[in-house]
Amino acid sequence: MKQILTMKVFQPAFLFLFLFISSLSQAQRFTISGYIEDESSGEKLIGANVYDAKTLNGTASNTYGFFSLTLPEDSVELVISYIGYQPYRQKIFLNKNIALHIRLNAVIELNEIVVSGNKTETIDEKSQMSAVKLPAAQIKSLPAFMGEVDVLKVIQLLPGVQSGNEGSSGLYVRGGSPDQNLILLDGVPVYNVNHLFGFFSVFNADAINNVELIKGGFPARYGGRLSSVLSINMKEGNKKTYHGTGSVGIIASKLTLEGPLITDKASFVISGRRTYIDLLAKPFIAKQFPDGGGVGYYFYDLNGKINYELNEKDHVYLSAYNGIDKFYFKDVYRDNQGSNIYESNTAARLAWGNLTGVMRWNHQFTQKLFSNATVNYSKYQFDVSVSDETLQGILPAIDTFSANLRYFSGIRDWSGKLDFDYIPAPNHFIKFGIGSIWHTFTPGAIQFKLSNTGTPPLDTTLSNNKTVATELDYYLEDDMKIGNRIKMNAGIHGSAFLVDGQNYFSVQPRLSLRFMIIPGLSAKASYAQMAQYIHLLTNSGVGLPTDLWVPTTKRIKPENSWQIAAGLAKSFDPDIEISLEGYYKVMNNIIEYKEGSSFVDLNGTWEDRVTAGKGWAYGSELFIQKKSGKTTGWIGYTLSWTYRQFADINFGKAFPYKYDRRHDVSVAVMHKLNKSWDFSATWVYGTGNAISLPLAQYPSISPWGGISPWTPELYYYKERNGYRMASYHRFDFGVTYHRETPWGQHSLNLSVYNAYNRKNPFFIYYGWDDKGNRAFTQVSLFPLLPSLSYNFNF
Amino acid sequence: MKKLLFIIFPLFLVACELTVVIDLPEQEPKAVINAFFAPDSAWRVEVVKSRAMYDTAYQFSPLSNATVRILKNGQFEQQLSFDSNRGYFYSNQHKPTAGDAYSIEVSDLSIKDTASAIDTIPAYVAVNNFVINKNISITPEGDTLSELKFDIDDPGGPNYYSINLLAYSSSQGGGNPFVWNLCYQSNDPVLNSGNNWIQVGIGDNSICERIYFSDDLIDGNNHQFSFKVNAFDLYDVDAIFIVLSSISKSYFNYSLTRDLQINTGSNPFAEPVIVYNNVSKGFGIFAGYNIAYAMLNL
Repeated sequence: MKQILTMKVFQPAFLFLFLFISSLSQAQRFTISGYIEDESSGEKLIGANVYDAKTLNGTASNTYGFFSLTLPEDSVELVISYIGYQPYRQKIFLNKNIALHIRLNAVIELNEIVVSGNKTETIDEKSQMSAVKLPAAQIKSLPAFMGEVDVLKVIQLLPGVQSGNEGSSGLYVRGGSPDQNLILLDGVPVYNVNHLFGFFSVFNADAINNVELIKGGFPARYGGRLSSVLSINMKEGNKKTYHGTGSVGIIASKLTLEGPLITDKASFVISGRRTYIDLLAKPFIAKQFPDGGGVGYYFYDLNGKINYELNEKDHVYLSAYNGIDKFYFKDVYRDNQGSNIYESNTAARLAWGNLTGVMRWNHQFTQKLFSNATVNYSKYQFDVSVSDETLQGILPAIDTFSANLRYFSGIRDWSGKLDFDYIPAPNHFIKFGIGSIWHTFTPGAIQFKLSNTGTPPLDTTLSNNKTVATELDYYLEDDMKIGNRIKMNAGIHGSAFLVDGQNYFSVQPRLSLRFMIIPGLSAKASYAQMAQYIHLLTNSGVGLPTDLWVPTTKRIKPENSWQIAAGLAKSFDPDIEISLEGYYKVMNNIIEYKEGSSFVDLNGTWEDRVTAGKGWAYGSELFIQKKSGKTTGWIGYTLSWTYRQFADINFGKAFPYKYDRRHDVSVAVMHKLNKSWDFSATWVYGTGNAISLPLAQYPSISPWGGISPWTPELYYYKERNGYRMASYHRFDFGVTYHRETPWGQHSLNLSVYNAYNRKNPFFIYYGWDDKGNRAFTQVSLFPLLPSLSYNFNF
Repeated sequence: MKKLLFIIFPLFLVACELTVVIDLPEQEPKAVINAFFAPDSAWRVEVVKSRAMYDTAYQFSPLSNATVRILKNGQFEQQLSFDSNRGYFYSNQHKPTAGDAYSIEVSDLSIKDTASAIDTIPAYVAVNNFVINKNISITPEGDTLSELKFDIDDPGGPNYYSINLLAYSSSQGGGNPFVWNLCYQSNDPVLNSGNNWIQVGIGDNSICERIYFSDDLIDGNNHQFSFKVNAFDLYDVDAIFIVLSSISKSYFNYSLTRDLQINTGSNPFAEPVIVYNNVSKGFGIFAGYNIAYAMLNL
């Protein structure tokens, strides 16, 4: 059985590998390889361009700053460029293999990105489509929401990405749901990315180096989710000198420290963020609780990373993240009169959080072969409990009654993977690897404890159906240029999921093609199949921590999808890029709660409460981006349709997905006026969310056909999600003043969220208005919200 | 107040809630037809006008002057009259028969469209071999259980049923005859088949109400049901009844979705349930059923 499994999973990969390796022609060639990093901090530069200016043959540095360029024996004019850095140029006569360690000098001032004037790989040249990279500096220069710039809210401004509800950090990419996004923090999946019911994400912008979103045409190295890959890389830490960055905002403050552990060899970065409304409100809340207790909420994040360069060929990285949200409530009531005792303690707690840890080891086997071994751990847990303890009686005979109800759910992963980069020739990049994840799911357990003086205690746990599963995957990916016009990224991703004695297999072909029509204008197309073995059961789009992560099981099949995309990419000087893409995506075996079910049901298991169906989405996206200069930013427009269909919902008829959004527009502009002042603004517009609203009421009939005025009334809904809320639009702006002192750089940011005070719909409920009439009432969350934050770095 | 603080505290942090009353397009009133009909039973049809969502009237307005026509297999059979004492349309003539398709047409001057619906009474399915085995087991909690058994011969093709267990006592109602739903346990998966909306009757859950199921798992076959009842619940019970209704698909869909909408209306986490409606250009249900029962004297 095991042998068959191995054959099924790995056979296509071996075949693929053989074909590619046998296609490589060998000549008298030598390799220039090494690492590229920032001169001042020692941070590795990802995606820097390395090319021979004479022939324009080149490559780019990988996620770890490593590059390898193999060229024929000849004189080479080596150029290494990276946007915002002075290019490195060196003439070399290449007659042997050369190892280089390149350090580039930044030419940017604070938050300023200038035109580099160097050759960088533009959008029309890349084979990858449906992808956007954002540097941390650009993210941080956008308007803040309550003093916090949120990475995921910036991602929501990109075409093809819907934001869900007002203020939510949820990402709905090309008709997908939030669980279909593979969100990687330093390569480790993060399951719940929400703080405070999704109003903030768990990613601290100060600790981030860069962010990349891929919406389609997925390279074979990624798998496990249907809709997108969001890769967030943390800073590595300055290897030269100690630095700090921090900010003080209206609801949270943060501090990041970084520096060398061993100069030029090892560095650290540690970053923390905490809200403090609970601390500020404590004196006011205490007045409400004269006998003790209180209520509060806070969240915090801690990020840490150490990287150590063992030698020229070996680097080790250790990074960790811990984030917690916690609501707490405690009330004490005492009514003691002499020896008559009555005391009641009521407490409630709602906590959720992620813990991730990763250890990576980079090893350079040869100048052409680079490897990365990773071991990581990821845990998400949600825990809510309510307890009540009562002491009652006449001293010394006191009866004690206590009851405790706890609901918890979570997911825990251990995983390991091995990735290789093989660069046999210029414009030829091969990646391959294997990986495995050991999942443990606890999808919603209820614990009830009861004790009462004189009666036996009760301690029972319901629905504690822990499931252990193993996920295996492999991939082989080849990015190559064929002639002057065609560039191709072809690959295969295979995976297997072993759960409850059931084995699922999937082989997912991937292909991205670029055809250069004329210099600066290319046509692109891609096809990608994806499989997903874990599902998120959610009752709302709010990003509640009650959303349950559940595995594929014998009854619940893996989700799978295919997506085709095609488009045009055009680049202009200086660094304006335009892309126009169309896509069609089909998702199978996606799950939803059956009508009327929710996570609070105690009847049966979660599998009894869900139904499987399919979804499809299609649309087109226009993205115009200006990447450098004093004014940068983008305009995005998406025209899309998204549907769902389940046998057990809406009588089997297809219905619009809640976040089916016909039109979605986003404009983001950042302008650096001078050394002291910069401005930013965003405007978003989206068709209203689709919701179910009743249109009429009529009487029901009792099961026996009994007809009376007292039978409950029923509400008539035309169809599921048949009503559109009002459109959503909002304008935000920010102004930042920078000042440099001998101590460091300071900046003060004023941001205004929803500047024209649009009452955007959050939800609509049916009830009564102030005059006692039946009414539909639209609730909006955020009016015009100004915020101030002070930022510093030294 | 303090507990309320726990709920509002998070919103207080991030939100300044603004509410606006919004106008929705008014749904013009339509005829509502509510009728379940069985063989050899009088026609009882409720015909009222639907209400707009903004309407605050306590009761629905009966369309007492409406023209209500019954057609049998496409042929006009009778026109029903409004019975002001009963408050609905009633006729003791031309009682329905199983296997025939009945249509209803309702028109009224105050309603723009003529509402209509069609349904058929399914075939009679008998309850056979109804027996009780008393005191067969004792639960860990010390309750003594008795077992009720009966079987049915399911006709071929898709069929739908409702079932409930009734107890009759001549003494428990304060000297008056008294009938109530008796609770039972069953782990028979047939009771859940076709029921895609709710899960009942699994494991130790007690069923105390009428439930609906399809014949997906027993299509065309004989099937024996086994229900366990607490012997304590049979105290002073004179007789028990199994009531099996063979119901049309429309009846089945309507009943399940009606109960779900009513039961989940107050759950803020649940999506609203759309109630099945087989009335064209109107609302409600017009559906047939065929009832069978078996009695066991204790």
